[in-house]
Amino acid sequence: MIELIGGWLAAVMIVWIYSFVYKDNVLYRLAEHLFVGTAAGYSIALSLDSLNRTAFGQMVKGVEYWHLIIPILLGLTFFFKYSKKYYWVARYGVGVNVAVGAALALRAAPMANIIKQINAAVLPLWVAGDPLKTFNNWLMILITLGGLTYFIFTFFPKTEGKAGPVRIAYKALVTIGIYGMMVGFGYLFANTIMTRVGFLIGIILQYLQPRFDATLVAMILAIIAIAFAVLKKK
Amino acid sequence: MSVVVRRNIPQIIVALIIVLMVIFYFFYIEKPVSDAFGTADKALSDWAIVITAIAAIVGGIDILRYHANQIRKRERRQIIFSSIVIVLEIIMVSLACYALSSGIAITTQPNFQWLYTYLYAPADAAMYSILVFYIASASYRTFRARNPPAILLLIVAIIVMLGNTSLGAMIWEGFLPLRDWIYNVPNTAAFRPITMGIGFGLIILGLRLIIGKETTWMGRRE
Repeated sequence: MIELIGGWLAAVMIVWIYSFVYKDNVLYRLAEHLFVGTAAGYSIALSLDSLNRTAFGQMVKGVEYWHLIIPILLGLTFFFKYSKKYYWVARYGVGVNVAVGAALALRAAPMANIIKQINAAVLPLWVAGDPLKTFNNWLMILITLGGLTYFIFTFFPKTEGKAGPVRIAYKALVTIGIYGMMVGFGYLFANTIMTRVGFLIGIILQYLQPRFDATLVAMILAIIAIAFAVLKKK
Repeated sequence: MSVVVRRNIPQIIVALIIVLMVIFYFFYIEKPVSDAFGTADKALSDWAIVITAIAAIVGGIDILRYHANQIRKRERRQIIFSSIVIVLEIIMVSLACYALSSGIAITTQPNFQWLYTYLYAPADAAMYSILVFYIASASYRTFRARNPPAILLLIVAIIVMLGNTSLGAMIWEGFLPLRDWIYNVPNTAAFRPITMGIGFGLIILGLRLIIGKETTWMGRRE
């Protein structure tokens, strides 16, 4: 019985959320608020669990973990943001978090984002007996250099007067960079569409198809709610 | 309270933590120092996890406060919706607290699990996938062949979509290898400068935090 109610609830929630695509209506808002309530509760629940495992659960193990009282106090400073007078106290907690995050990023970025990328971009321009590989390598190097040239915002070759070799090379690289990035964005966009459509199909198969009766009832109710919304606007 | 306590000390703490964590990571000093740093470094990461968890709780309480205010304003239409949010949030948290006090994982608590499976998960999936309908109109605008780069984007997107589906293989077997080539060669090369740009951006952000130029994290201005 409880599974049946659950199945109906899931199907109804999905149909009512999708009803927003046509028009905002009272059933969409009901589903939206049901979602916000559970999402907020779920987020707090996960945080409590994390706090229990990382802080309280460790602190009972021994004195060497008692330093975890400091982040708990720093975290509690977040509540000062509700005060008009003492809102600045929250900066101590936020500051530690920002600093740790920035430091971890600063450690990883030079190697992962820059040096490894440069290493991977350095390719042989001639591969004996493999013209396709040679072509691919040229293409990769030109697109990488083109993209980097496109992202130079600090200085540009002079645009007045007769075009010199530097300006011609600059413009050519920028054009290659733009076309290369268009290929990248085309790939990304196509994959995004495929992922979302796949997700939609998954939802239909998992929640709507097994509970077709619930879907039908929810759809009829959604149509009535949308009709009310349209009439009210008129 | 003086500006030193309100602004300068938090900035100094931020700069100090970043400098110490970066220096001890990149420069080897000697084993005892390195070991001591390893312990401190792990502790700082744990601190960040604990503070983030409390921040998420404060976020949840913010939602609660917002909806309580809506009810207090006595807006007739919003009262029911805000009440639903508050009740559900309290139920979820109560179930989680009950699970924690019973010594079981919160996700295995039957009522919590039921709410997650039949309310949260489908609604979350629907909210995520609803974008597919807006992507349809975005595709129309993106794929309009206005100029040569847009035509290239359109062609690549069509090849990739056909390469991803069995329909593409039925039309021409070459779509799949072509999609793989696009992924491995031009796509990889195109995202390399973007990845490097992100890296430079992160380094500049860190440096701005160290010298105290980056102040957005401090919230409201004085």
